[in-house]
Amino acid sequence: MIIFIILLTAMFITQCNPVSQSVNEGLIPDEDNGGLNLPDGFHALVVADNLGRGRHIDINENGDIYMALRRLNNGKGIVAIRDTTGDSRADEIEYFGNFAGTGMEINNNYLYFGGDTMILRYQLNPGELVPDEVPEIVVSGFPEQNQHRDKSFAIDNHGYIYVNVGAPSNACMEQARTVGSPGIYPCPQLERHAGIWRFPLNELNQKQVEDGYHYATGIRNSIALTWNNLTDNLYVVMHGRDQLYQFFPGIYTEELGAELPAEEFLLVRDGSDFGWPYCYYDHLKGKLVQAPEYGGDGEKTDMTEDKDDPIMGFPGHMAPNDLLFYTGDQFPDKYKNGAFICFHGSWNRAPLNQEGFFIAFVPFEGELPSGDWEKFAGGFAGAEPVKSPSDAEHRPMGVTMGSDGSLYVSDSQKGKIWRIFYSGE
Amino acid sequence: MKRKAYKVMIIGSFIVLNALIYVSCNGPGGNQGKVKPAEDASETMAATSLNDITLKRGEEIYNKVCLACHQADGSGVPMMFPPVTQSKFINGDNEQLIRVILDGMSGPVEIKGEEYNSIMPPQKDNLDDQEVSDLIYYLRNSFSNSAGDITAEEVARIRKQ
Repeated sequence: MIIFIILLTAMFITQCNPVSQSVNEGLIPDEDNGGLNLPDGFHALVVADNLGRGRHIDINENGDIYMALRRLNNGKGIVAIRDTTGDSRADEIEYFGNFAGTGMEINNNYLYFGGDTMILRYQLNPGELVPDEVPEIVVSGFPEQNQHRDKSFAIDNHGYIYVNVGAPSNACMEQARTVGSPGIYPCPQLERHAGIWRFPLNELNQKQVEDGYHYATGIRNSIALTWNNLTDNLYVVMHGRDQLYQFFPGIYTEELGAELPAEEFLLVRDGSDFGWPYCYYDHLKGKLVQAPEYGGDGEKTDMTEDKDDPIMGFPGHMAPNDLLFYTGDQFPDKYKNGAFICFHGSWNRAPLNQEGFFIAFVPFEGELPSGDWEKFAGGFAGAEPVKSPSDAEHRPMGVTMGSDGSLYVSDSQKGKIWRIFYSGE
Repeated sequence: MKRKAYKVMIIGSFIVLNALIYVSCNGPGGNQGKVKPAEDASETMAATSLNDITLKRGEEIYNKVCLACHQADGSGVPMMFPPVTQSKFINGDNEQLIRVILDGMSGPVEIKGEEYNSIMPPQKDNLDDQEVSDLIYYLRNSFSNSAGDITAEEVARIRKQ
């Protein structure tokens, strides 16, 4: 009888012990951490590989992962991944959806998806990996464009979706990407592009112009944008303009052209104007500088007076492609409410080496960074230095957080997905 | 004339005559059937130098105008800018290649199994006919490409159309 009670008690104790949030028991990393370089105590495993040209990802409460594809894979533009054996590695992989795209976020049992000219939603059904085949159109009527057409978006907790409409040019030149060309003034692309449009999340068949609220402007292209639920505002990490040196060799050296302009980290409020194309942020000087297309000489600050500064500037051309504020409890305290940024890697720093191909971390206190940025996860590119982006084995593209506080990261070269977790040793 | 002097004169003339014959046989214009290594080498060196110069000129143009997007190794940028290595555009139809360089390109195009849909800016105001010819020479003799030369005259003809 006593033995029975002891056994019963033992059984209860083992059943009721909550799994420690900060130490992952039972999660076995890959021996080489999936090829990644991580800070002490962090490990990684490869969830799946060779899925296609991966873009943004999200993970459902039940652990199902969804990734957008930039190119159709056998005619399908979204891949769904399920682990059925509990080892965090893919067991079921399904492709669905007839549109390629970038944006991917689960909200209220819908999979929201950013195709090149539309925002769609797919109805998720409880327990099923693949949602309803036929999507509904949330917003369409975005202009056709042949650069910066990828639609990324963020969803707030007030029933709104914020959509990035990238500029259809590099610097609003009169003659596109031409040496010495002046910019068009005023730049007509600011009307339908180069900004963020906000829409009610739960209405269908909306159009950009009729139903969109022009939330912010002067943003060249924001593939990386997210709503910070703690501070209740929108943040973006912007792709700065290209080729200052090639188009204005009299003003900029090759080195300056590789370093400038900054990739800007933006706190975006209703009515923000960050200045593209008239100015760019020079992080070496710590200020906005007039663009050469509009008469700038690398020093002048005309046309910047009424523009909004970024909260931080990163070295040029590293291509910020996703942004996440860390709200989990798994990682050490310093990461709480800080920002993880996927730098996809540059293409236009030659003849200098390409840069990026890592995940950065920025600590935050309230609305603003509380310290310098640091490299959190590297090793994506493989052999370094990277001279041209095709050399990079992998390029970090999308990041999301699981319910346990692990990070999931996607790659655009082959479609690899890693799970990064902290195990304290 | 004394006998000895006369002998010297004959022998001397004989020597000079032979020397003249030797020189004329072995200098330029003579010995038509024989190999003249010195002269052929200088002709060959001249031809090589001209190719080298054209290649160098073309490479400079590529580095200044094309490299930013198509990259130093010609591999392009995944999903953004196509490679120029083993390219059907580089090795294919002359007129098409000239037009792409002069007028640029946009819209969806499939190259080596990948789809691209970007903008390539025109270079017609940036490069003259000789520069386009040099650039094509460099492209067609680099990046694992191989195709014939295009003259500046041919570029001019296409440019006018």
